[in-house]
This record gives sequence, structure tokens and C-alpha cells, in this order.
Amino acid sequence: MITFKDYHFYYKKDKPLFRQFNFELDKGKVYGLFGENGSGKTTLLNAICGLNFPKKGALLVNNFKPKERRPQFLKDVFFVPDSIKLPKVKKNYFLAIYSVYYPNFSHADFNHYLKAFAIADNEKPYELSFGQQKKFYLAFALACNTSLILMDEPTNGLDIPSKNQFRKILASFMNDEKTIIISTHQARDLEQVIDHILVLTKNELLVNQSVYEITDKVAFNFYSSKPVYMDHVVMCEETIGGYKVMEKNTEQVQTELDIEQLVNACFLAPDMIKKSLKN
Amino acid sequence: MNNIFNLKRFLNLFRQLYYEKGKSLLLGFGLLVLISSFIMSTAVFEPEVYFVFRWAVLGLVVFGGVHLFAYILFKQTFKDDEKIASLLTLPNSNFEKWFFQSICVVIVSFSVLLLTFKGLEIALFYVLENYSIDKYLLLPETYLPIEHYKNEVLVFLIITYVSCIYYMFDLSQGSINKRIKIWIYPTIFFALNFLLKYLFFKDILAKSSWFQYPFTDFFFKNESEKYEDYLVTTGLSPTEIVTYILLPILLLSLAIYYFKLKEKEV
Repeated sequence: MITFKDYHFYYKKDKPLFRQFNFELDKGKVYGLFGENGSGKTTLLNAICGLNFPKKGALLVNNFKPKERRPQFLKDVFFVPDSIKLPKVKKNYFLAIYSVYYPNFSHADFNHYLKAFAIADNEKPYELSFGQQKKFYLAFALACNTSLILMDEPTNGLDIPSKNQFRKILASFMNDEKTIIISTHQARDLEQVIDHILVLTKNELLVNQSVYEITDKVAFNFYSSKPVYMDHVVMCEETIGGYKVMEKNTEQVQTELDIEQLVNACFLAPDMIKKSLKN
Repeated sequence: MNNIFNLKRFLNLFRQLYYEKGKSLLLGFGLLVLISSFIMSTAVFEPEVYFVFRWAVLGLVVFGGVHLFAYILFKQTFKDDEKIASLLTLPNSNFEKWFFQSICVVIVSFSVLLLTFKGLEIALFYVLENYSIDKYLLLPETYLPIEHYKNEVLVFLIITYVSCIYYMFDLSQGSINKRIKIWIYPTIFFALNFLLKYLFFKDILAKSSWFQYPFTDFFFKNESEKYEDYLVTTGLSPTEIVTYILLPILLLSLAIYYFKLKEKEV
């Protein structure tokens, strides 16, 4: 569905952001894209929806080259940027202008999502608060029913009940034909809905595995005291009341994935991560 | 699906403009008509006001309009990433977006401006001919000495160009500061535009006919001898308008839009 082949990108020629990137993403999954500030998460999302172009190599999305920005490609992709500023038009006009571009747009779904997000019934959505505007836009994005949705920090600005609703909506929205890529720093907000992890480090996609594959290879445990034998430990972190330990899953017991710890480990001990997650 | 042009998709761009900017455009147009009407009504009693106004319209359309338009385009293009992302990911073809913004919007906005002026001008002449005949006589052959306007016009031109270069420089300093090409192209057009207009301007000064199409040829004599006699003639043919006004505007917007669509990285 999304194929990066020898993908090369830079803003400054002497500082390449992505070099010889090769990976594929299948449809029907919720991908969580993680990485440090400046690691290229937003750039990667922009590339997928055609907002920047590969300097070398190829990028194919649904068999289209995003850089050509063909209407047939764009009508099946929706990008939700980090910062939302709705145009100054009434709700009905907004729908009249934008929904016609997306053939699978559903008014019923849109109203359902608005209700689920508890968005105030306002004819002028541009007058709403930032969080409410963001929810309005997320509701619209999901109601477009495009096969690919890209979200950059979707939970920024959302209150706690809304984050919970967002998780529920995403879970009900997903099917085998739809794909969502979410770039976020708020790992805990979306831990339960993400089923594939992508971690970007400098010039490298360090992790590209499903949650099941990861928890099959490593375990995330909590101990009241520091482990004595550190042979299998990938990362040990002191916390309130004990130690969070990421270790090799020698006992073959699946534990709950701690995305924050995994991402931390990617930056602190990348070689250990590579070794531990190796097939 | 037609990936180059689809009428329904294209018309949706108009609908978007109408819903999003309709009110402010109508308000702006109303304000323009109101101010112009006031000036024109003053011109019935003071014809020199009309010349100044005509000069200002000419300046705005011909000498400042291109740059004002370029500035607005650049401001919209490079200062608001959200708007750019929204525009670029809108499922219209590149051709539709370019044709709409670079051709339709330019032609419509300039046409509205000029037709408004033309309508008011016709009204002014009607009033002058029918109600001020005792004061001003329309004559077939009189002459308006306009050499003394030359310096003011040159100052106006220089200020316009310096302002535009400054805007271009300012706008190119953000996230695209290294991408010098983006402002080199339009600057070349500015220079070309300036050269053509300056040379042409000199020429039409010599012909004493610097008031230009679509302005009406206008002759009148002040019987009370308070004013000089006036002759104002059309200075540009339709071909010249295309060559000296519309073409530079279109080339400029084309250059800007090329970068906007092809190379803009949000």
C-alpha cells in the first residue's frame, strides 16, 4: 500500500533526513509513528500525502506517486495536520465545499462523530475553541471514509474524555480496507489502538513491527527491586515504587506494550533494541 | 476520473471562494464603489480631482497592481502553512488550481476594478455633458500639458518596486530562506516589467497621452478660465494592454504558482 524504495530526502543537502529508506506498510492497520523532535515524522507524513517530494528513490501510495497530486489519489487520502484553523464558513457551507471532494463521505457518520465528541452545536465551527475545532476536523476526516488517514499529533488540545472517545471512535472506524498513520509524542493516549509501531531515529527506521511481534520478543515488566541478573535486560528505569524493566521475552509470556519505554530505549540503546527485536 | 480537468471540481473552487471570501469581497467592492462614487461626484465640480483619481487608478492597476497582487499571493503562499497544506491536499488537479488562481482570479479582479471605474466614469461624463455644460465645453482638439507629472510618477514607480522587493525579501526569509530561486524568478519579472513600463511610459509621455485604456477619451474646456483646457486620450491599444499589463501579471503569477505547486514543502 505504501512503499518507500531507496527513498532519500533532505532540507539541506549536507544534512540528509532520510537516506536509502526501504520499507512497506500494509493496509488495514493503525500505525503509530514515533521519534524525537526533528527526526522527520511530519516530513514523512507530508511525503506520503504529496506535500514534499523524494530527492531520490521512489515513494508509492496506493500505486500513485504522491508528488503528482492527482485528484484520484488525493480523494482517497486525508491529512489532519497538527495545527488546525478552520475556514470562516458556517458548518453547512464547510460540508458543501469540502465533502463533495470525497465520494465516500457520510453525513450520518459525521453527525455521529460530532455527537461522540460532544462538540457544541455551533453553526460557526471556526468560533469554537482550538480543541473543539480539532475534534470537528477529526470528525470530518473520519467521515470522509478515505482509505488512508494521516494524523499529526491528533490528541494535542483534546481533553481527557475526548481522548477516550477518540480511541473508541478509531477502534470502531477501522476495517481491513482502511489505514491510519498517527504521528504523536503522546504515546499513552493511543497505546490501546495502535497495532503497528514505527520508530524513527536519526536517518533510520529503527522499529517497524507490529505490537504482537514486539511483545513476542520483549517483555515490559515492573519489579519492586532492581533485577539482579541484567543479561536479558534491554532497559531498566527507576520509577515510583520500583523499576520498569524492558527485557527479552525469554518466558514467552505476552505483556502489555509500553510504547514510551520502547521509544526511550530506541534512543538510549538503539543497538540493544536492534538485537532484541531481530527476527 | 479525469485527472486534468473536471468542471464540477473546478466550479467547486469558485464555490469555496464565494463561501469563504464572498462577504469580504462584496464588502470591499461596495467600499470601492462608495469611495469612487464620492470622488466622482466631487469631480463634477472640480475636474482636476477626476484627473488625480484617474491617475491613481492607473497607478494601482498598471504600476502597482502587479506587485500588490504578487505580494498578496506570496503572503498567502508562504506565510500560512496550514492554508498551503489544505490547498495542496485538496483533490483538485494542479491544472485546475493553477487555472483558477492564476487566470480566473487575476482576470476577474482586474476586470471588476476596471469595469467599476468605467461605469462611474460614464456616469461622470453624463453629468458633465448634461448638467455642467455652462461651465465646461467639450472640445474635439485640446491639449493637456502633463510633463510636470513625470517626476511624481517615477517616484511612485520606485516606491512600488522597492516595497515589492522588500516584501519578496521578507517573505523569503522564513522556512524557505535557502531557496533563493523562489524570489529570483519573480524579481526578474519585476525588472522586466519595470523596464517595459518605464520605456513605454517615456514614450507615452512624449505623446502626451499617458492616460490609458479603458479610460475614455475626454475633452473639455473650462469657460470660466479657472482651469486649463484638457485633453485626455486613450494611450494603450488592447494588444498593448495584453503585452504590458496582463502578460507580466500572468507570467508572474505563473512563476509563483509553479513553485507553490511543484516545490512547496510544508
